[in-house]
Amino acid sequence: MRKLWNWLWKTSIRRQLILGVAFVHLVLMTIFVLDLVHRQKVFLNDRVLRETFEWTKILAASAKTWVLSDDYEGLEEVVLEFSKDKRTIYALVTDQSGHILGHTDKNKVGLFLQDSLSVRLLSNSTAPKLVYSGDKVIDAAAPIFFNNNIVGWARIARSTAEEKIHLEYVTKQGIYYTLSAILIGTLFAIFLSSLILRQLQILLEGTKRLAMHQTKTPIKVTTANEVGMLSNAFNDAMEQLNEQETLLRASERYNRILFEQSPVGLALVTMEGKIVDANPAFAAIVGRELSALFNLTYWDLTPSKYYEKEKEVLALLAKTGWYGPYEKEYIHADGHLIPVVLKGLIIEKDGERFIWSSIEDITERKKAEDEIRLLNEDLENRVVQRTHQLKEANQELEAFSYSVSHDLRTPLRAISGFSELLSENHGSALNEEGQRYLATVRRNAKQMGLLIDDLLSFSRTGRKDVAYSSIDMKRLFEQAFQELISETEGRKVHLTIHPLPEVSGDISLMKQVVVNLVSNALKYTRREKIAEIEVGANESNSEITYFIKDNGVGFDMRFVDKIFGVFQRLHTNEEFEGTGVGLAIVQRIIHKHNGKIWCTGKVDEGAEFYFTLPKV
Amino acid sequence: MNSYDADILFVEDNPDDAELTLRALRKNQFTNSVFRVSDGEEALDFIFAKGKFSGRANSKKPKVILLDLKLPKINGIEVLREIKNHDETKIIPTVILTSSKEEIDIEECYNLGANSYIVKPISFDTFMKTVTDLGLYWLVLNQSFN
Repeated sequence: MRKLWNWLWKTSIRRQLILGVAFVHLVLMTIFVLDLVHRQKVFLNDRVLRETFEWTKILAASAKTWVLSDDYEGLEEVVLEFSKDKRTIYALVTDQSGHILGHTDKNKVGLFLQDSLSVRLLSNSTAPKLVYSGDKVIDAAAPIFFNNNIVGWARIARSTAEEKIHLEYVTKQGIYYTLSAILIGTLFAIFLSSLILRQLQILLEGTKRLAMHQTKTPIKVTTANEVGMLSNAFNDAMEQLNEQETLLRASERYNRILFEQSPVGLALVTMEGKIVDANPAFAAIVGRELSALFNLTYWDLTPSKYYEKEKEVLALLAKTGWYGPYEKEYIHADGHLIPVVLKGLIIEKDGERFIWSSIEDITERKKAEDEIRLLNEDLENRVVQRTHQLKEANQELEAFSYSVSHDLRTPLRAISGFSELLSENHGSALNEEGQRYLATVRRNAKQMGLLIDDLLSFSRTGRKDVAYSSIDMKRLFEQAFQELISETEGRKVHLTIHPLPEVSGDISLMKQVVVNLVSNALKYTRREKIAEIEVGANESNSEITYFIKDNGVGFDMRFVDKIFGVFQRLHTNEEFEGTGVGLAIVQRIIHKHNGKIWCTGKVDEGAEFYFTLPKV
Repeated sequence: MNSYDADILFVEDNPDDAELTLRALRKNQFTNSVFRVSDGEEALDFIFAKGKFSGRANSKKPKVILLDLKLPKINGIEVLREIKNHDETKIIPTVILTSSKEEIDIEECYNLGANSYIVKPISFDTFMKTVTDLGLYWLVLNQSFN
């Protein structure tokens, strides 16, 4: 049963519908026909019973007189009257003891009813009674009364064959109608199912087409019923799907175009290096047909000298999921190497890992780089050349200095020496004017000597390297004053040296600075009654500022720019002797120590010189 | 006294400087013991008794050589190098008397074994005093080894 149900559940709707309708018709019609036959049977039975009773009553009534009068011949006529009806099997009249008084079969007159049915009837009943009801016969009896006493029984048996035939006919008719109903129902079910299923079939084919990606044409809708609505909905969905697919295809096409027309080489390779996908740009870089690439691995394209590096990159890729930019070379189809720069990452496709890389041909860049390198080399060569030239120029300058030092000093010494000898040995031969001229020659020769010496000193300072050491500045100032003590002879000099921090610098150069500054301070306070000279320092985080202050002739701040220039002087030689080189040397030394120097002053109110030196 | 047996070998190309120097020496009676040559080649010939000075082979060594640096033919540095390179001459005190104050000159001369380095002063008075002191020191005070 369960099997049947399963089969029914799984079978086609058409079959379900047909079987269902047939089954329903069968059940309903069977019930209907059974009921009809049953009712007909009851009705016919009732009728024949009622008729039989009527007949027995009539017989009883008809027979009464004859029974009372014992006229058996008359009775016989009455009984025979009943046998005229062809359905009468027999009719009989008995007395109350069962003695047959009249019978349609004359031979049985005079006999006694001895069968058990008849006996029971005669003994117990006083009312008309059904004696026997069978398939073919119905037998009934009615008492014959006289003065409330039963004087006999009238009994008739009638054939029910006619009813039986009628019933069989009805039953046959019922079965016929049942079968007709089932047939009509089934036909209707077939019709109905094709009505419903035709659209459903179309829909089914549509879905099959959809499954096979043949979704261009909508399915035909032939009905407006639910299936039709479903079909319309299907068409709408399919149209949307088509639209989406069109969009998707357009998008795919667009992506493919981007991929294929990318100026940068793109390649998808397996973790082992097999090329799975690549674009024409990549094929062009390595000079191969696109189709030829798919038989290759990138190892085939990589010169062996990159294998080690390649393995490192792969290890990095495995660790971080990406790599690059990484420069290497590929082997072009014609054998030459193409410099490329790669970048990439691991992507997953359908559960498998791939390396997705961009490949850029950097031949031009490399060329440019080579050019730059060549240019740089050229530049370096030129720098070397220039340096050499500069060195040569410097050497020339040194030769010049040497020449100045040696060659200029020699004639100067001759001028100085011989003018001295002239003055010494032949002075008396010259008149006063001649002697003045000679003195002028000697004075100028001396000044020129000083100029040359200072100039050489200045030039030497420029060339000298700074040899750093820790310098006790207070001691340096004190030494300078000590060395210049002759300057203070016959003068009142009030000197204050505040505590001075030590500093890192070149001791011999710094000594020159200090001597120059102290010498200036002493020189330009020469006219003061009491020379006031003060030395001090201020310290910050990064540097120390030293100062030397005097109350001398000072200077006009308008000319402050000239103070540190070579051969620049703010006083004449008659006022204050000098060459105008000292402060230029000082400035040069301070600058060589990465320091700063500046000064302030006012005419007749003194000057202050400041210089800073960085803390090392 | 053979003039080759001079106490001082004076190497100086400039006649004016030479005259001033000799004058200073003369003032102090050192003149007779001075032999002057005017270039590097002559200086070396004299010292090693070669060329025109081959005749002084047996002469005594000078007590001091006064050597200018800037000289024709062979310069003073080369002359100094030769003197100090030879055992028989390297003990002769060699005093550089030059106009050059250049440190590299000073350094090189001392490296080569110069016994003294004196910069010729421009001022006449200082010059006279310097030369006088020089003569006095090397000829009188200094004990030479012969």
